[in-house]
Amino acid sequence: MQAVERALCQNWERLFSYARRLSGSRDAAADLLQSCALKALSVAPPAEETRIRAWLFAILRNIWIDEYRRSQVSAELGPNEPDDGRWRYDNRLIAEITVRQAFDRLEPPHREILELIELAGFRYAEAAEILDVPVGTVMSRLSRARLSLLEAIEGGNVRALATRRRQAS
Amino acid sequence: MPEPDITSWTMLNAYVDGELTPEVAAKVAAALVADREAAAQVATLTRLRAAVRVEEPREQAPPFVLPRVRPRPLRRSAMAAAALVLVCIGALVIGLMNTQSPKPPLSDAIAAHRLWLSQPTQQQAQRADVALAGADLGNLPDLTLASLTLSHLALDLSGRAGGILAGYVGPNGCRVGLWIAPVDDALPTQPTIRDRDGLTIRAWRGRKASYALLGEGIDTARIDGIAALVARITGGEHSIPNDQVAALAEARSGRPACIG
Repeated sequence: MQAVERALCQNWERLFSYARRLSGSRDAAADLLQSCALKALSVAPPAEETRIRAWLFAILRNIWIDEYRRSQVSAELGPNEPDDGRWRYDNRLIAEITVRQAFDRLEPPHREILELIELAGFRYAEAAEILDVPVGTVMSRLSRARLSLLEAIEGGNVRALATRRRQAS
Repeated sequence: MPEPDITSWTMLNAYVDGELTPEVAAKVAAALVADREAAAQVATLTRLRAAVRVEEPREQAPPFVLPRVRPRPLRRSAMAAAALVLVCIGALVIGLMNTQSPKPPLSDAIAAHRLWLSQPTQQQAQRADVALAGADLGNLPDLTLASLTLSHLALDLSGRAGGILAGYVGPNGCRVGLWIAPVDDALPTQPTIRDRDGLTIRAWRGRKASYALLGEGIDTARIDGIAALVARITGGEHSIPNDQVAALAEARSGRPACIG
């Protein structure tokens, strides 16, 4: 089996999960996955086999951008730092079930960066390559996403937080 | 007082993800000792990471089926290289078509000898004096000393150089062909083995012509003796040494007749 086919087989579930996060539907994710595989098998892969995994995710994402048009929601939405005041998040609320529910309430760009870093296990540099952004952007985007996730777990609302920040400033 | 950027939310995220350099990570760790707020954030981040990472894909992926892929398209450089190869091949083919392909040496001689061998019966000798282009042959060699009688003569003009095959027949019907053609500088001056295509061949070049002696299944000592005799005669030596005559007689009597 060739390196690309092997990487596709090994990351099939995770690629589908990423496609599912991006597209928001199972059918679209399945189509996205097939398009990704077709594209990956039709072009020359990276010379270094260790880069093939991130390359597959980048292909999938680019196809999604080209064919399904990404949501206009900005990836930079949300606070960059916790709200002023004391650290108010209750760690006891952080559990598998609450995280799962909160995940679904996140904006797609936040779900995407968490999918890549937390679930797919990419390093910042690899995620930057997939997203075609600088590493610094990955850092800030991830920190926003985690803050939004905490807000969602607390039952808060990212938009409301952002509105409050704008009103305060 | 810790540096504010060291314990920023973004920096703490990178810290728990292990993305900081050892030096910066050490600074953050040192700052956490004095900054309870930052330490609480790190605790929350650690718990959050652990909770997120246990999440498994909720929907089962479709079966792993690779799509059928058409052959990978050639890159532009590869296509150019392929086109260049095709052009070169085309030019080579055209060039070959415009030039006569060189035949292997002695091909005309072998063809003429084969043609003679294919004729079923011995024909009456048709003696003729042939003036070959560029050569003053005079009379064809008399090979009586080798018990060979001239019985066939064929002029071959199919080749570029032209040539003549003089066919000699022995007492037992053995056929030996003597091919005479313009001087070929590639041949040695003394009879040399040039066996090919199942024929025993000795070839050499004289001063005015090239010669090839051909026989099928003929004893090598006999054809060597005949070749030496022809070389002497065509070289203008009319007196044949007694030892050569004796060798010819021995070869003729001691070995079975040739196939041809």
